[in-house]
Amino acid sequence: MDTFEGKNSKNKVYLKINRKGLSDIAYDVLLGIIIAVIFVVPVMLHINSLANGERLWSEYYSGEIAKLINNANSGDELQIDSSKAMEIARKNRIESHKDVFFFSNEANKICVKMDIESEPKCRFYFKDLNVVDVRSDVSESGNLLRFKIVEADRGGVG
Amino acid sequence: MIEMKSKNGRMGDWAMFSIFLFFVIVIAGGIALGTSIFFGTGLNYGESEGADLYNAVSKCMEDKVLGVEEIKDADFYKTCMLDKEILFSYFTLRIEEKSAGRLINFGNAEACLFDVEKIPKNAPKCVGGKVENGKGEFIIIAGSRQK
Repeated sequence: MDTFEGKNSKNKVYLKINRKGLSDIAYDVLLGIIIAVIFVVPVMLHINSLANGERLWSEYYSGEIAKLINNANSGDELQIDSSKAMEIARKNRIESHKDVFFFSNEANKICVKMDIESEPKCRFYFKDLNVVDVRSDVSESGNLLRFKIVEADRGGVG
Repeated sequence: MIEMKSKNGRMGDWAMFSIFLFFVIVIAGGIALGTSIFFGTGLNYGESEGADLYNAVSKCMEDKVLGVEEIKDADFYKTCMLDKEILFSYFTLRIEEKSAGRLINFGNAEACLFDVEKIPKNAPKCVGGKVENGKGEFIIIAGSRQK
């Protein structure tokens, strides 16, 4: 414990610096902040993902694209209006459709992700077909995601 | 003489910390639950995928005139353009030949509680119907197990 004399020399005031006490308070405050951050950050991310519709629209696009493929035949050329997906993705600093829509011909899977930090929403399609030539076109009505359906060759990626 | 277990008086701190932790968990959970309820729990494509599978299989069976033997054959998947692995992992399909009562199950077929006349409300992801082709009359029930 350190002591030092105060300015008023008549009534000698001793200020006691309890270093341990100070560190206890700092420790408690720091612990409180860490715990609050651990809980608050995931909650804020969850709310943000719901509020900008990223999760819901990812589910929508993955579901609709899987449905399109399930009802498609080899040789079909399909398109879906991807304006909303690209609008949300741009807000989340994603510019290219290649970073939003992921087709996996090996796994018969379409994944959609509109935020760098979020997990992609994936759906599997039962039709044994491959998706190739995936491109995004900008038309008067907005963005269009176009892709072709071909017979599965067990290995190609679109 | 009473023996003091917490000589530096830290018991109260830990008790308060537990209460603080409890409230943080309750508040964070409450906010997450509240926002999820407000924004909705998501979309359900299960029933629609079940219907798509049913339509694909029934159309294939009608067009290609498939019987039980052909369905049991390994070429069935190729004939109907179905991915075997995906079908077993994420979908469910049951084909029953009505006259002989022969059953063919793909995936976890019991998940639908198969009764084509009254598919229960708690199994909305299953879609069923009858198909007739040159090989007989079949009951097909299809469903999706994707969430």
